[in-house]
Amino acid sequence: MIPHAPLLAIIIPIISAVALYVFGRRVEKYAGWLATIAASLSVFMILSMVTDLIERGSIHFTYAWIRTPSIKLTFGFWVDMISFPVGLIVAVVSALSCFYSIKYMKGKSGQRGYYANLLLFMAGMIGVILSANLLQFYFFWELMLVPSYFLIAFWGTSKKRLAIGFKYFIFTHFGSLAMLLGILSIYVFTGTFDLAELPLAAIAIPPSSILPVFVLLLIGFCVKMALFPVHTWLPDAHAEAPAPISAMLSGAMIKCGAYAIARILLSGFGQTMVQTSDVLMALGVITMIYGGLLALAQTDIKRLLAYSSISQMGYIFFGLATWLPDATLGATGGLFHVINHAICKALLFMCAGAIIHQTGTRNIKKLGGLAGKMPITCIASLIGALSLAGIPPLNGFWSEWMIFSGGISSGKILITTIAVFSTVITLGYYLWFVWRVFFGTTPKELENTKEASWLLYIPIVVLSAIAFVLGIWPDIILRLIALG
Amino acid sequence: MLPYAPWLCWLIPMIGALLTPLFASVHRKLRDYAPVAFVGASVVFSLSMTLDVFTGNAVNWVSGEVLGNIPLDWQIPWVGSLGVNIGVLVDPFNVLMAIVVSSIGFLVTLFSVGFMRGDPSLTRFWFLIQLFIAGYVIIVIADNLLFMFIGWELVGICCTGLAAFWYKDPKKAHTGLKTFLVLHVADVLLLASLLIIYSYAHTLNIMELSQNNNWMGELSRSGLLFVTALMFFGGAVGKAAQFPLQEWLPDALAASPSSFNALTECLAGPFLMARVLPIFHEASLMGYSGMINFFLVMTFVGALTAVISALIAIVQVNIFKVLSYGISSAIGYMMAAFGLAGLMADMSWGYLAGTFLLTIDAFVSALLFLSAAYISYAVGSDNLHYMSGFKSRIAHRSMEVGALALGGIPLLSGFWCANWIQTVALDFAQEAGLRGQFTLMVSGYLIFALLIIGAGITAFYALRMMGLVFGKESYGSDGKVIKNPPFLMRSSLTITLLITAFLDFLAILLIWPFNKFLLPLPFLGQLTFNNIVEVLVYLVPSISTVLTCVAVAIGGYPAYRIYISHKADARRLTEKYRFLKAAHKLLLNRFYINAFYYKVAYSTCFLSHKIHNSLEHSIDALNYSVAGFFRRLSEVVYKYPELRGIDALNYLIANLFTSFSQRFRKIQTGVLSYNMILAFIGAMLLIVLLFLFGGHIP
Repeated sequence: MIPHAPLLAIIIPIISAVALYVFGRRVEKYAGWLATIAASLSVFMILSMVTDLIERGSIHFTYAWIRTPSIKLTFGFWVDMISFPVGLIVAVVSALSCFYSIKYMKGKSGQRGYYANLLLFMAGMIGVILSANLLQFYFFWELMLVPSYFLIAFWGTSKKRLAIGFKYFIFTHFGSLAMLLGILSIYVFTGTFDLAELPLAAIAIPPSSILPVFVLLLIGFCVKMALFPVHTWLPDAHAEAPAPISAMLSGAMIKCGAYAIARILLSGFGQTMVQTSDVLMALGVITMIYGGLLALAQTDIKRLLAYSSISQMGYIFFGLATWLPDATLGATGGLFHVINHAICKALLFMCAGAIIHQTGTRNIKKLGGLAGKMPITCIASLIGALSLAGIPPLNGFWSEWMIFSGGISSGKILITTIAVFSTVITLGYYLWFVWRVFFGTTPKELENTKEASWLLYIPIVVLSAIAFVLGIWPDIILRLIALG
Repeated sequence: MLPYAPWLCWLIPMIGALLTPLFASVHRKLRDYAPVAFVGASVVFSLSMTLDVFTGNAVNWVSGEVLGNIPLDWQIPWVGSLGVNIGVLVDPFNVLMAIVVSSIGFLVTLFSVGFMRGDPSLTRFWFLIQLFIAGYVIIVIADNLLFMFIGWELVGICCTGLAAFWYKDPKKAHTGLKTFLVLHVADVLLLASLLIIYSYAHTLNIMELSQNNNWMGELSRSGLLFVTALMFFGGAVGKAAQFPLQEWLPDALAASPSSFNALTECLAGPFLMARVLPIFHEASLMGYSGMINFFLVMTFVGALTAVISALIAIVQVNIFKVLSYGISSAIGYMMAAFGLAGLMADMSWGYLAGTFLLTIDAFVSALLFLSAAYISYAVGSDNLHYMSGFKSRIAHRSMEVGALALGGIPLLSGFWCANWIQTVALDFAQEAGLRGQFTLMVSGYLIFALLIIGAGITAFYALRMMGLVFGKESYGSDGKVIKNPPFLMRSSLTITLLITAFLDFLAILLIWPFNKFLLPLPFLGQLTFNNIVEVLVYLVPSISTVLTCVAVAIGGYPAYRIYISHKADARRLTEKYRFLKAAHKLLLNRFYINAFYYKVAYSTCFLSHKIHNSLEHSIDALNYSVAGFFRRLSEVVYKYPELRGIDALNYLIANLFTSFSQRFRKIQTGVLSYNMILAFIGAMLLIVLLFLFGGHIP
């Protein structure tokens, strides 16, 4: 392990962002490459912890922060079987999106600003996931909001981008505030912000206050995950952002909500989770079906993918809601699905980006028959779509298998069966999307379409390969996931 | 067996599939001929396991190591964190099916080399075909249902890929989409039941599931056994193209490259049911509630499909559609046999009948599809009418062997198999009658009647097909050969013909050896038939034989008159009898089942648009109205409390002070005498106040 690896994983992108923005005028041409190097270094830092993690199961890093007589706070990172896999995949998706941007954002104005924001966004997400205390968690949570707002509002694709960015900001911030209230209440009752102490400290919360605190935190996380009915910011924001940013938003950012549920609610509020599991599972299933049905109605590629993200968040939420102290299969599956969805959705957004880049349209009705013209994109889209629809032997199958097994093992057979049947909708809209874009007759205007440049399809190929390898051998990641 | 035979028989074609793009970049010929070698190797490895089944000991031929007894469950760890193993099960039934699948796969591969020559997308074709064969072998050799499910999905994906092989044709592309969606509905049923079984039994290993049946007790107590079994069957129904999910098959087979059709993936459905039948039968014997109903459903679905699919086959003009409805109908017989096996106390009769038909029918269907592909290649059309008058000895003989077996012509395999299953149905009815179970007895006779009717209809459409293809009438290509089938197609068809003819003509003699081969299966007990004579005694002198002959004659005669001797005209008959016309319309519309599915699909899309335009918009509107409310609130607050309230108050106070100071300023005159007087008055006041309230003197 490299010393101070998690700190470096966050600091490197932040420093590079600042340096790039302030001193980068001379190297504006290479901003993308430099940012990619910084992002890859960050991935490398996280990856370097894997052997120690397997040996020790959990690693804490503590730095002194605030030391006054009234408040003592440390600044720290907690790398364990929950945060490591999620943090790793967030970093990988961000680094690949950064690489993808080199070609995709070429010629757009404000290159330095774009990459600086992208790196800050990445640092914010990694920070959220590796944080060891709640206050630090909140700081990073806000840090990931601001740059992503700029990315949507300034590099968005339409005239509405300012309004949409604003909507995104308000929605997420509203969630953050609910979460902050929850965090502060925890502090008031327990006197600690430390996440590792939370399971024991949470006993101090008086029973009458547990539910309100739980609900406050849950609202914050649900807004981030875009669960029904607080999802409306997502289709706008994800469809509006440039494709690599959509890949990061859908692939990585909304996972922070799921991660937070696993990290905070399952450890500190396990009892409440179990008591409310019926409601939570129902919420998950409603989101699954609702997002799926709406995806069916879309004609814009990116909006379709955005709605499918909502639906998939339903799966993850459902998996986490099946958690029981002695039966964690479904919740582990939920976390595994976080990773699989990150891979596949980033893959699909990048494919969508490649299609938009090559054809100049994002309207599904104007596309068709591209399989022969863009074979790599076609196969990659099929892999992403089939994986998320739970077709073996791709990675999504395993996590969905675990989620639904968890649901049945926890005794909720009826609702789980409904959830299983909703995968038909998932397959339906994905296949229909792939079919309309890649099969059938090619419109005349697209006769000369060519496969995207290698700069665009390398991340796509890498992600498809990961999806495939994880499908054949899910243990690579699965043995790094364990819910306490 | 050859080393690692049960693994390599599916791994080799899979590796072949993955290597196809590489081969394609080396040389076209390598890509086109390599699959023959890969699938051929799979046949060799499958065949090598036969000896082990015979001796009952699995032995590695190269190292001489004894691997264990048959049935051999060979597992290696796979997903350690989930406790999932990957494994193969070497037992007679699996080995037999592996041989059947791989050898048909080999024949199809050989045939396709010729059939597909010159297609621009051969890399894709070979990838899909080899992966398909690998997936199919996985289904028949897997030792656990999860691994089997993976093979099951692989097959489904490849089938979709092949149905949409010519994806530029919107209709064919659409067929692929439809195929996968219908199959997936069934797969989800299967998946749900697997999940339930897994959570109760904590394993999906077939051997463990049958050895430890506590889980069925628990399932039954929680009232889920019937539903679970039914969902499991639902999965098989979809794949096996049974009523009501049969609609994907004919379209998929008509759209895909037709040589592939001979692989008949739908036989995986009856295979799956045969594989788990002993487990469910055990549950039924233990008296768990719902199992009788489950088997009744299964039998009726099978028998109904046998009739419905055969009826629809009558009016089809695409030869592949005729054949696919035909195979759907044949699988109906198998399903009925398995259902009857489950209903009876001794399941071996029905089980043997079903599995025997499954084995033979795999070859018969392969032969029929290959000969149809051969003819359609030669005349350049799939339409039966355009084929009429076609002359080719090999195609003619193949069609005869296949269609007459299918049509239940006496002394051929189809006749014996149908007869056998019908006899089992009669036995069941009698058994139920003896036990005084009236409903079951009636059901038994009903099933028997349905199967007999099915036999008659089958005879009709089989003869119709023969008559149309080889009859005198000739329009379309005028019997001319447009493309000469290449050598590989002819030789592959010939080999298939020889194998099938052998199985077909000797069917009755093969029943006893078949029984003997399958005997090591634990649930079969002892030999059902001790020798060939017993088979004959059981099958020949029965009421079923007579009735089958009658049904075949009734069904076959009109077909002969209309399509072969041309004494009657079908068109004139339908015009003359109104009910025939109505029936014709109903059948052409496939009982409106297909239309119904489209309706469902359209309604879902419609619903999604509705939700998008109503609920989603209103949620979004709500968000905006909340935002708008706050904006307006802020305006109001700004206007009233802020501007006119607090701010106004501030101004008021400021104004007050200003006006006060304005007034006060007037006092400041600057005249010294006034000031002095006032200072004097003030000093006096102070003194008076001090006297009145000042500190008291001690």
